[in-house]
Amino acid sequence: MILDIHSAGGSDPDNLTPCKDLLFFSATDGEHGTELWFTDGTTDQTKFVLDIYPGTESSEPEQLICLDDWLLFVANDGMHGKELWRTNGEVSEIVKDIHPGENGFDIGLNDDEPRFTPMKRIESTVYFVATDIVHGLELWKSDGTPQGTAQVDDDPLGSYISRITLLHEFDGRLYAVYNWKFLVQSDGTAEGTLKVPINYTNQDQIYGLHTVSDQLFVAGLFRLRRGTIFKTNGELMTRVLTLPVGRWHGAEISDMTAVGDLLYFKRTLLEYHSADDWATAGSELWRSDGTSDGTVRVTEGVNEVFGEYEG
Amino acid sequence: MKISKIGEPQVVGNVPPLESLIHFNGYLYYDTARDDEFGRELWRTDGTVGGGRIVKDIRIGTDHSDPRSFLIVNSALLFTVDDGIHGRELWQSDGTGAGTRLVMDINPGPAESNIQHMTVFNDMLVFSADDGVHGQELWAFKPNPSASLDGDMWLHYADE
Repeated sequence: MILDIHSAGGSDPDNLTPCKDLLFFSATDGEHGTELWFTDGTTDQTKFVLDIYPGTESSEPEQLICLDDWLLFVANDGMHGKELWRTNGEVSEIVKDIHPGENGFDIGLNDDEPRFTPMKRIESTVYFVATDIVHGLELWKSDGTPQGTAQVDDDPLGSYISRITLLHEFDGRLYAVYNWKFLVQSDGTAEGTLKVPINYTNQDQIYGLHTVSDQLFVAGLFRLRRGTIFKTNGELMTRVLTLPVGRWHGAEISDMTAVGDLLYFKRTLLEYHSADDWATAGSELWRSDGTSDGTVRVTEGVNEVFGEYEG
Repeated sequence: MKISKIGEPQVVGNVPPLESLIHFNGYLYYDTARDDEFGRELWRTDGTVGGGRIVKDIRIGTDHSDPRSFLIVNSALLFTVDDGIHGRELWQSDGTGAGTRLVMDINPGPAESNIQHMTVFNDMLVFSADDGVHGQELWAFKPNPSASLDGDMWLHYADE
């Protein structure tokens, strides 16, 4: 144990994030609420950063991300709501009060959804989802300075009510999934933020993005819960393969891992019980080179015979 | 005994994501179930079709040990698993059955230590765990990649 931060109970360390030669995290010592701490791995150098929300209230630091000399994070000081902050361990300050007043820039997110889509850093820019007092939840960027923190684009999909569900980097650009359904690429400018065209229809969901060499693989569902691999080079998204489900009712793809030019992933087979209840039947390891023929099952997890590909 | 290692600070890169599928020393490690033989256990494959082999039946018989949260730290594969004796605790593997072993029974006996937020920092694993006395607190462990498979050597840094 590095340090018994909360002597009368657990300090519940969370959001562990290396930045330069320090590891930042959130924890409670029982006096200050849940606030920001750092450690270099030694007991002596495990320290409280700042009581951002004064007293026993918690600023609840989250979304920690390292950007050059600063750690960016989201916290509530009790006056501004959840906003973007930065610290170098000595100086801690609010970057920008994106949503003026007591409400934070996360207002509008439902409590039953993850509070934040994880931020994504590309070189010296951090991309995140926020709302100001005028616009809805939209794509924002920050270089860690007030003047360098701005909304990227109002609504690249036009009339859709946006909900950005994934942020990913591919080929130096940001890729954002809107409403679990549409893929948008951005160079950080409004004019350079475009929907990626697709050459298939009837996709139901996009829930995973993984870069393998010069291809961006997209895990999704096609026709109900059919686990499907798509790919894109940034100009067009194509369907690689809809994996067979045999006698099961559906499949999901997860744990995408790159090894050289190959994508390895897990496929979990699902059994339908009711609309809200899909039981897991088993999982298998697959690999893909981005072609239908080159997408094969490496090993089986359940003793099951599958039908023909529906590629 | 405390797992704790103090090292010279180094610049670290991005934190690898937690996966139940990970590439380590030329093999892919994953968890899978053969309910008729082993239950959900640690496997590895060379990536060829049918090339998967079980690394160790950590929880003997058809019960699941359910390995999770794979992470490579200082050239060692670390993960949490429940062997049915110690509860879910931190384990380490070099890919062999003999080299797959418990790092430390942080919460002694059959209780689990509730390991969370496993993060690589300066060749250490830093994580949150409950030893049953102090509640959920911050822990660190530095695997020694040059050590032999001797049990004490695995905890070389823990006794410092």
